[in-house]
Amino acid sequence: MNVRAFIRFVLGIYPPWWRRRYGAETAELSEQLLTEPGARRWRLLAGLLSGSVLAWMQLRRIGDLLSPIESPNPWGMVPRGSHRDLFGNRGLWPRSEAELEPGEELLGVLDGVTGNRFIAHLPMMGVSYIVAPLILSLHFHFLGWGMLEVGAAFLPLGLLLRPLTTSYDVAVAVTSHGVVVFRRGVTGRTGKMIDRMPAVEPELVSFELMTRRVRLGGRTFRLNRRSDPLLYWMSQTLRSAGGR
Amino acid sequence: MAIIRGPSDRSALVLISLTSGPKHGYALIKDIESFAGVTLGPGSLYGAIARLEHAGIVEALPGGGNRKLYRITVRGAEHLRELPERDRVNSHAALGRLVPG
Repeated sequence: MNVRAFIRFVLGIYPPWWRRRYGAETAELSEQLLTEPGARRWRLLAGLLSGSVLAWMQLRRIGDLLSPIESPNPWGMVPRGSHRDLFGNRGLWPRSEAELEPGEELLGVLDGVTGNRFIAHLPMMGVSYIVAPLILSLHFHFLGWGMLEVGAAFLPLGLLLRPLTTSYDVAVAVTSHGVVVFRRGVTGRTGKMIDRMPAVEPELVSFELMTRRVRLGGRTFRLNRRSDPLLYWMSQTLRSAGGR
Repeated sequence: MAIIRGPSDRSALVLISLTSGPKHGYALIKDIESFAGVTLGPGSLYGAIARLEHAGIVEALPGGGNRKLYRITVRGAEHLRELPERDRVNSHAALGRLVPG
């Protein structure tokens, strides 16, 4: 395959804002590097591919729509929460905010899973299994029906099993009144409130590789590893709220 | 927000390189290769530049067509000086290159 065409194809994966700002520069620089003697073209292309992941992550940072909640912890970070949806929005969506009580201040949001995480993630796996072969088919003109069928089975099965087993992606919102748990949809946006508890002491059940199992009130959550500093902040905040 | 996590961070390498003067993408890659022995790809380089630009640490000079020149901002220089002592030792190369004033 023509390497220049492949560079253009890879740059097409980058987010639009990135293409507008750095696309021409990157294409020119890549072509310049490829003309050098001993240029490792596949390494360069692999770097461009991994760079697209970084660019999308950057988009998520830039796409923060909610203003930060000013309450720096000893690490100097603002505990506005680790939760983001697919579109980069942090915090709670208006529908969820509307379920907070009058005067209840949102301090931070942690993302996690309650119930069985495999069932909770089944719809998202289904969507991935459907979308991935469709995208690949645009380029390779070959449709992987096997993956599509698996996806088509996972998506409805997941959507059916999640409410039956109460296995959801959740956003654990720490507020001035305690803890409010919201469901998160397939895209990650927060929706209906599923639980509300007063200021309770979070109890670390187990320290797993990618997640932390935390017991809050009567529920056990698997919280994302990124939440570690937030977890400490949460325990401090809830402890002080409980002592008030 | 910690922009620089350590000397091996790509953003730190870009910042260190820019302390010796404005550079475009190709010059940055070659300079980083010479002082750090790390070969950045275009994807990683512009990922780091985007991050630094967003934080107001680096800016593109106006004009220049596709080959934009990037320079460190006043805030970027302050950020580099204010690194904790631990990072300062690691960022010896950067401080040595930083133009006074």
